[in-house]
Amino acid sequence: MSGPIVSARGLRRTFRTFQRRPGLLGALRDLFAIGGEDRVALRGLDLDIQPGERVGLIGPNGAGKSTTVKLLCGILSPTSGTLMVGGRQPHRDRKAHVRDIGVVFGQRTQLWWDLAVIEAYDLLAAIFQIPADVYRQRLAQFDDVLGIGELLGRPVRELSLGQRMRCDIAAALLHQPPLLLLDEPTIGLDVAVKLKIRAFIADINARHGTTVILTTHDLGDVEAVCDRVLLIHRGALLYDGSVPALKAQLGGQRRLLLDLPAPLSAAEQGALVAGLPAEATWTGDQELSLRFSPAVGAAALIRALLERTEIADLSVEEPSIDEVVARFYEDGER
Amino acid sequence: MRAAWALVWASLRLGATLVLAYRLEVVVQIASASIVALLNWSLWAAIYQGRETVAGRTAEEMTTYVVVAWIVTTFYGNQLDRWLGARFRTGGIAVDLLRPWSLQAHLYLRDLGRAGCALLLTTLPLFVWTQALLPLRAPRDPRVWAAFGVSLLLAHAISFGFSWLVGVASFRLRNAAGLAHLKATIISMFSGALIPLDLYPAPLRAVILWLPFQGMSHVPANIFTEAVPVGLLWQPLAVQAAWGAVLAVLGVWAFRHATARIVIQGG
Repeated sequence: MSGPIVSARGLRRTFRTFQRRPGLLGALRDLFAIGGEDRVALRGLDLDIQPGERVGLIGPNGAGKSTTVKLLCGILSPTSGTLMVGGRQPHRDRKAHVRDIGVVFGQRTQLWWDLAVIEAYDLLAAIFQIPADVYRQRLAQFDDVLGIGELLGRPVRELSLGQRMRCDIAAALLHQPPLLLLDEPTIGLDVAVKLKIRAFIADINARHGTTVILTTHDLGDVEAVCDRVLLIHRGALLYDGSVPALKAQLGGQRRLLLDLPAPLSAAEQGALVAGLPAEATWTGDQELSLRFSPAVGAAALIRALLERTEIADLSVEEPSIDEVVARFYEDGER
Repeated sequence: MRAAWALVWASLRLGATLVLAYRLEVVVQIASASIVALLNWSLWAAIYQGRETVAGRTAEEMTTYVVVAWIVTTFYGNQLDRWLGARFRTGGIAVDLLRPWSLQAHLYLRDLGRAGCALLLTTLPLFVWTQALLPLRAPRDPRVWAAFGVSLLLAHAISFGFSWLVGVASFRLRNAAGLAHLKATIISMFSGALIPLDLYPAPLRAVILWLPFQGMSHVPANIFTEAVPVGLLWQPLAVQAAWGAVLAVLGVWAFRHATARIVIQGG
């Protein structure tokens, strides 16, 4: 299919929240009239996502990320605006829509708590009518990357969080949907499992061209998996672009860390950094940190330094996207 | 069509598998249902001391009625209203809505799978031991047995209809524990499971016999005790079927309303 797989125009969602009045008298009054108030979760989102894209949805808690995912799943209806996924309105055409998506909620399992993992998979294979040979082949492939083979006979309730998450992701992909939605898939997981899951998502995307949309608080997920990042704050889209461009737009500064072979006096220190296109901070009498903008380039800076001094050791630090995003959030608060 | 059958089969299978996941539960259910059935039986055996008939029934008929009326609850009894309420409260309902099925049809079939398992593991053993050890009377006519089987199936559909409606109400009320409790109380009063409906005063009984609740325990027990002439067996079955259909349609309508404004709780 040509054209975007996801297309949203003015997508808006509000929730009615009930304010309980405090105290016994308040509770009695609540029996008759509950004070309600509309809280806006998503205020008019415009968005196009092309097939095969890997999109990271980031934003602070309560920004509207999960609401967006639920709308994409078709389990929440938009208050206004339109949302088309794969040519359908997810909420209107839920039964057809869910055949074409795979969903993973980090906070809850989609497997049946009391069943063994393999029983749950068999059921999903029946529900989605996956032919037996295709099903076996996919299980074997998932086992290769996720290592779920030895978990298949265990009841879901006995699995650790990391084991359960791996099984959940495999479950979401058994029917090979063209669109994979992941709501905080790495929440609470250790580094080894995170890496496995990231590798698996990248592998599925590369093999089948699966479109991936994930929400996360772990920017490592975004850097490892996504080629596009959407920053949502208070229900509005604050940024839409690539991860490097996000860093650049925020004046993401790189850092050059230097070890000098011998200690320098204060005067020598001043002379060494004078006129360099960078901001110098001495962290010791022979250790120097230089912050410079990506436009300068590390090579030019190192060349300039080598004309003035010898260098014992050096390293270049890329700006952490955490810092970048934290600054974005703070700007939004103001 | 094949897709539809795949979903039917998967739903039935899930219901059965979930029962088998807790084998101890089966034993507990047999034990507790046995105790209540035994209590009902001894109560009515005592009431009949020195009397020929009560409410137009002989001791043998009445004790059979109360024992059967209770035993069939192990077939149709479900906890779906509470389950749906909890599912909604925790947001787990999101996962159930991510399957390509009508949730109502799926849960009906799933509970039918559960009931099928319960029939083999709980209801039939209860029938066997009560028939063997208590002076009860089983029908001989195969047509009565067939009608009894159909009435069990319809009793299950009615029971499901109520649980579904109460469960769906919890989507809107956010907590329907009170409603579930009320439902359980009304059902135990008017279904015949605890109080034989023949004991109610005639005007009240006339009303109760048109309500859906009597289709749960009273109709199967009445058929089993051969209180319904063979030629008229279709009548209570038709009433049961009508109520099952009405409740199912109400359920579709209620769910459509609830999901139009459904809120998935939890992040």
